[in-house]
Amino acid sequence: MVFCCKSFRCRFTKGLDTVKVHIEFFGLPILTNIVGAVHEIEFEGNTLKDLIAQLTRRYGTGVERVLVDDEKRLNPYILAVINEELIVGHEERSEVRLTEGDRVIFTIMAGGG
Amino acid sequence: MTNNRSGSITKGYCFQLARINLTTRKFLVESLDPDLLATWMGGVGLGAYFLFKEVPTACDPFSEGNKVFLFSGPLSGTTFPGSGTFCCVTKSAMTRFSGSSQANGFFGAYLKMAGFDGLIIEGVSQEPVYLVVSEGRVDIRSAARYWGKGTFDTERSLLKDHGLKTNKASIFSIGPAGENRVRFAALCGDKGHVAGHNGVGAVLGSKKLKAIVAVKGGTRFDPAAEDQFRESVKDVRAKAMAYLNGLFHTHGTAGLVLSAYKTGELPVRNLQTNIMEGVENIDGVYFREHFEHSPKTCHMCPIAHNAWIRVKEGPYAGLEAEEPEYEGIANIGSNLGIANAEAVVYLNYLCDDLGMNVTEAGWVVSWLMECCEKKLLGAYQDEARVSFGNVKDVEGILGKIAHRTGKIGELLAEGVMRASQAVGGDAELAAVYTRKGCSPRGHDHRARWTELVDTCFSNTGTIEATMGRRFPAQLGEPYKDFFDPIAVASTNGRINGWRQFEDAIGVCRFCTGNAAEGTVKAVTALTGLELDIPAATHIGRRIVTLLRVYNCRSGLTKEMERPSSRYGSTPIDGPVKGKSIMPHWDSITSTYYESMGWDPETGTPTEKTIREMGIEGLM
Repeated sequence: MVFCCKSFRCRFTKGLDTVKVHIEFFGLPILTNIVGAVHEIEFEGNTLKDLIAQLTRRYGTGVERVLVDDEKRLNPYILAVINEELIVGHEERSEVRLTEGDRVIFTIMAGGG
Repeated sequence: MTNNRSGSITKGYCFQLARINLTTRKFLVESLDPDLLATWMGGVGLGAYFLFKEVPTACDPFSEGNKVFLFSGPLSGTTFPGSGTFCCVTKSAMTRFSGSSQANGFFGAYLKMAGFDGLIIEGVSQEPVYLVVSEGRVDIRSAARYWGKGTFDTERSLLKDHGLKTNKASIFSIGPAGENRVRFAALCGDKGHVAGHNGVGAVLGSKKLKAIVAVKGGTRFDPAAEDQFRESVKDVRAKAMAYLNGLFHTHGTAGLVLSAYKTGELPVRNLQTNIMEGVENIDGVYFREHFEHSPKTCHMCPIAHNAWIRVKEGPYAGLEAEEPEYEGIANIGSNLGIANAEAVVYLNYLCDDLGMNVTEAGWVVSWLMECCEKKLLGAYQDEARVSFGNVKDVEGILGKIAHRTGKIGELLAEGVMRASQAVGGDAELAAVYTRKGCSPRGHDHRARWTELVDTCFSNTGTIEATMGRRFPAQLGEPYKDFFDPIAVASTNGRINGWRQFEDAIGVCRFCTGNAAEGTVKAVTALTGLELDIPAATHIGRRIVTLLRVYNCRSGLTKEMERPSSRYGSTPIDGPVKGKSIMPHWDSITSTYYESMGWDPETGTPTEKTIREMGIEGLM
């Protein structure tokens, strides 16, 4: 399927079977220790949820415990930035579609101090 | 919201405060009724109660009629994690409404151990004085030899002159900024902890009160239910270590800098852009890798997020200072175009030593920098040459502000709202503030609508309902969408109360952040007052409502509850480019007012709300 752009609005259409993306973690030392701060990863599927599932399969449930809630949605206290755009919408975020070469950042939501 | 509380307070307090009159140089011990404590707890709660009762709404913050209320909370001085926190409430020098500010460290614990749940400071001294609180007494002594000193030197000198070790006393003081009534002057102590918001340092300076020494005494607080208290403490301690996946323990709050940058929340160059080179050089990873550091903890805190660091190289080699917190790095770093870690350490140290709120100082200086760059200062144009990224410029201007030196020092010491309004024109459009009179924390809130809304409607001049976007699960669903204006306003309203309860019990929010249930159980086990999270939140909401009534009577209007032009502007780049809040401001206001039970036109709590909060007897 052809997509008009990589913007947030176009991300809910189904497409490729495997995707390779670039991931980084900020403010998440546990995940940095498990996965590494910067990583290329190829995964089956095409959503953020699919990416997290792959990370869990490869690196263990420690990753899942940090990144997802009991309903397997992205944890409300984790923020995701895809290609420099903050992804919002607590319930919809996990279904955001990823395409080849996307840069995905997972970071912590915190208050400051 | 329910009010599920039963039992009564029998333990966990000193059940007395000290009332210090600086005019007569006398102090009185007054008892605190358990029913009063059950209604207001301590901290901001007792502060709000006494402010409402004793400081006329027409009172000028610098007049003799203003008072400063410093309160610990029931958990202060116990084995509960992070229980050294205290709260200052006063009529704010920034907003002229209520002001509340907390500081961590040890003061709240040592004040209680010295025999008092709180201090009420009233009157004005003829000469500079300081207080020594020890073993149920308050001594008022001449501060002539300390007046003029920075806060770090004051603390060191007082410890030495009294023959005290750092773990036997907690000392908080004002610096030159407070002495000169800089409106955003702070109260600083315990080697870098700051009660920064609302100009409490300026109010104390107007009373010529330089410092307060709380000498750790022998008073201990046996819980009403010891085993349950011990279990709660154990539970909260474990959860505190896991807060934010341990980030604060490993990298301090400085560990948030890159996270904030990647989500558009790091303030850059007075919010003119969200793009900056070199941010990784002022992140917590950089600090922990490049500086010698040793942990610096607060009372009973297992997280130990602070660090004491030593600068080894460069123009500040040899400086030993507290690792800057996230907000200091943001507002005196990226906000000023500075991405040099050593310089950020130095400038934060300087700000604390001069005794100024680092966030307001940052917004004032970043505004000045933009105005200098664009030649917007009018009659003040020749008074300052301050450029983004220039550390020496910042050092110089901070000194001028603290000492009110020259026309520019006098102008900037009034805070960014008043300074920009005095200059007028495009200069006013460039300033970041709420129209109540104070500026936000060290974030670009245009990427964090929950806090932008909270800061504009808050009684306290800073965040009141929120902290980040986290809150206990028992208060309902998380925010559905951080940029849905109705969801933000209604959720802020729904949860408002819990954070003020936290500020009423004498603890650091980093320790309670993951552990709301354990915290409430600890309060119950300690005091005998049975609470659950909704009941605790109800107490906090009562505090909010009382302060709201006070502020409305002090002249607060709906029109003041808006961001300034720049604060509410639309980001032109970065992760939240194009997200615009101002088209929704009227619906945000009406939604929030409704959710809080306030009159839709005036924002005054309705009679029904006042009755629900149980404060009709105070009206």
